[in-house]
Amino acid sequence: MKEIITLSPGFSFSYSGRENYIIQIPKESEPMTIEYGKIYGIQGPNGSGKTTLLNVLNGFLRPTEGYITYYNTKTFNISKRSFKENVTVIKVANFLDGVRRLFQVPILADDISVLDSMLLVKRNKLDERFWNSFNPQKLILRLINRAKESDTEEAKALLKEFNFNDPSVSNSTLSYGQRRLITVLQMIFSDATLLLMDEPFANIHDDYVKKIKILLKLYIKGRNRSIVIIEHDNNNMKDFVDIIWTLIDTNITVKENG
Amino acid sequence: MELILSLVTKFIIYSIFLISLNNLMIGKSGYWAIGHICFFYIGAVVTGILSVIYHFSASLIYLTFFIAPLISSVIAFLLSVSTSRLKGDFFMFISISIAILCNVAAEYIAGPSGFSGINRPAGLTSDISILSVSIVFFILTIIYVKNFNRHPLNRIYSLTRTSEKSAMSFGINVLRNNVKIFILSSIIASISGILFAFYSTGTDPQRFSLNEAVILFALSIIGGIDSIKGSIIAAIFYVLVIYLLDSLFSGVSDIYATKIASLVFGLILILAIKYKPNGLFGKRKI
Amino acid sequence: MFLELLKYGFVFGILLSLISLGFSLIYNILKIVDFSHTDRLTIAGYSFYILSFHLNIFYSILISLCITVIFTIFTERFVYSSMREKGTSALMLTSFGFSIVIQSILAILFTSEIKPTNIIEHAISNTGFYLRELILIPVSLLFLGLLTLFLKKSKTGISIRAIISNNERALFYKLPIKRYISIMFGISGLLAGIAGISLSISNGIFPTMGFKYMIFSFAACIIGGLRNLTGVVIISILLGVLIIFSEAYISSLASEGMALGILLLVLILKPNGIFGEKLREI
Repeated sequence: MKEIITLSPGFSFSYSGRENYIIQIPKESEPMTIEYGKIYGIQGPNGSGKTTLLNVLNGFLRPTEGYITYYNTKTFNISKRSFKENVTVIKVANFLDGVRRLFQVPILADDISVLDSMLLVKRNKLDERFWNSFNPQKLILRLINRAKESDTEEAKALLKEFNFNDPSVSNSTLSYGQRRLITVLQMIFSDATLLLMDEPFANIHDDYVKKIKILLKLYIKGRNRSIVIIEHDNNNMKDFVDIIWTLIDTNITVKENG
Repeated sequence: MELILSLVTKFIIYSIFLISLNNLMIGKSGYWAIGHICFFYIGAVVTGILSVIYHFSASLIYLTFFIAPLISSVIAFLLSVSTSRLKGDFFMFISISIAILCNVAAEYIAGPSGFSGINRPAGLTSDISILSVSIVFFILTIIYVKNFNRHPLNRIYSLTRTSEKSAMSFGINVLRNNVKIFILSSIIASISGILFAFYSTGTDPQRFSLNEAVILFALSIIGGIDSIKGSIIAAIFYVLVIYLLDSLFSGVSDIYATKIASLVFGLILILAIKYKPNGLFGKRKI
Repeated sequence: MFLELLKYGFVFGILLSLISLGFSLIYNILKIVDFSHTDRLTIAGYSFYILSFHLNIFYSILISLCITVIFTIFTERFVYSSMREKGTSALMLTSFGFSIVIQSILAILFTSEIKPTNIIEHAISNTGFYLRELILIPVSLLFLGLLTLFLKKSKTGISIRAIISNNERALFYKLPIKRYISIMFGISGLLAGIAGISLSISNGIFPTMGFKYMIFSFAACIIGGLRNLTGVVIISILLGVLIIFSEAYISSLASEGMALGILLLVLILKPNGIFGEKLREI
């Protein structure tokens, strides 16, 4: 099974319901897929629905016609929604656990440290059980044997590479560019199956962009992972992306890079 | 001596309530729960109902420590489910309305002057014993909140407060987390209400009105949101100001003491928002 | 009995719609629930109460309306406007604190007992009419019509509707938002003043009289869809009839509970209100 997500032929989305389609895939064309180990780039003029497409892939929006399949499980089929399909929606929620999304505007909680916001991405479900917060013993034990320290060290090393020398500093002290950088680093640090990134290289220094590209290539290499990015800069597209989706006049055209 | 004992007991009980409001409810979930006082009231009134209406015996009255938190957590659950629809001021409104409805319902059950003559439970008949139980509970609450602040959960709530959408895209179940923190803080608030009812052996509706809700809410902003030190200082301040106003106007009229208190705290709330949005010890702005 | 109640309900609904219109105008322009909005009813009621001892009834109505409008605009100018840049949560907490301050000042000045203002009404009721049905209801219907005309036809009204539909775009067109905010507050103060005088004539005045109407008008606003002013008026009138009937047949406590119950139900089933258009979040 190579496909993570498939958009069916005849897939379309519009905010108003029927007409005014923002995204459309012609009925006679091939289904659009996201496969493991590949990097996808979305390009198109401003207002052509790039972010909307990302929202659809993220499960925030439902298609107006057609359907999306996650791991070959059909979901969100508006025209024939049955009890069975509602069940698969729940499965999709589980799947979406493995998706990380980079928003255009960096969203960071102001009252936690840089290191904490990195650790937030690689979450340990057991640690986050609410009942654990009643149990100081467990916390003390964890502080003593430092079992989870590998994550922390890894995050610190990654931050150091991008000149965040003091990881315990609060997010509120960062500039806009640094905030963007942190949100991109969160993506790299995560262990998600699919990264959806809205303009990852905007507002970031060129040297860092090179490093980030290498790290993202490493992120998917040999693993069951893939990346979708929106990018305006054609140079970034050329040397980084495997498959280009071009959005013009609501239609999506798929093209291999190179 | 008796005066100091009563002031200290009130201070401890109000600290517990303020910590549940300030450090758990507002501090973690980020919702402006002005009506949080209804959980305090539920604790007190349920104790009154069990003791005065159903005549529970001195040992059976311990059941109130289960029943009152249960009722308040049901209401907290309903309230927290509404957060999936209501944001900001809408939530504030619903929270206030629920507090008002609880108040009216309690007036319907207990009459306009509230319950009086609540039995203290066996083993807790003296003021000192109630004070010591309150202190134990107070210390446990503080330890728990401090523990929570170091826990990985803290950063999850932090992100959720900043942006629910972002939190959802990180795979965080926002609604479930809200339900948990609402129920937890309501349970702590209702236990402080039970202690208050046992201490004062009555439920004076004056102490649970909307005015009082605003005063306590203003106090948590003055002390600084999500600051334990702030909550404790605010509780001391509250107990002292109420004591002073009560003794100043004790002969004149009941209205003056409560109304001047709410006037003062209302003004302090506005001025604090304008000139000191961090509060005394808080790091977070309103 | 039934027709009588229906008439009362309709009258109450019209008064409620005045309050909720002001409420939704302020919500639409500042994006906050103005918790001190219904205190303007109280201000109007008290100034009418004081003035009616000294002046002829028409003058006292007129002057107390002026007082309410000026009070409303001053509230905006001196209390709210400095808080606006601190964000909506600071603003609504301020409005809440301000409401408490006003209520406690009134309670300290006039004590918190209910003062009847129905002396004048009795004088007129001898002739078979009630004051509010004779004067205030036509007046408020007139104001509703004028408001609609103002919002539909005049240039200021169209700009205000532009601000209602999109705050940020209005900023982009460089509309003088500050002045429009004052105008909106003035209008909502006027509507609240009419409703306040009329309600105080029939129900008497006390410092916290606004809160009950706050619950009702908030419910009407949400159920009607906050942006849809026609929807708000229709729902207010329906709710008014419903409230009068439940007060007559059950109790006044039930009417509050019912309004909140309907509100919660609507919020769960149709969060954008019955007449409201769908709002996107993403």
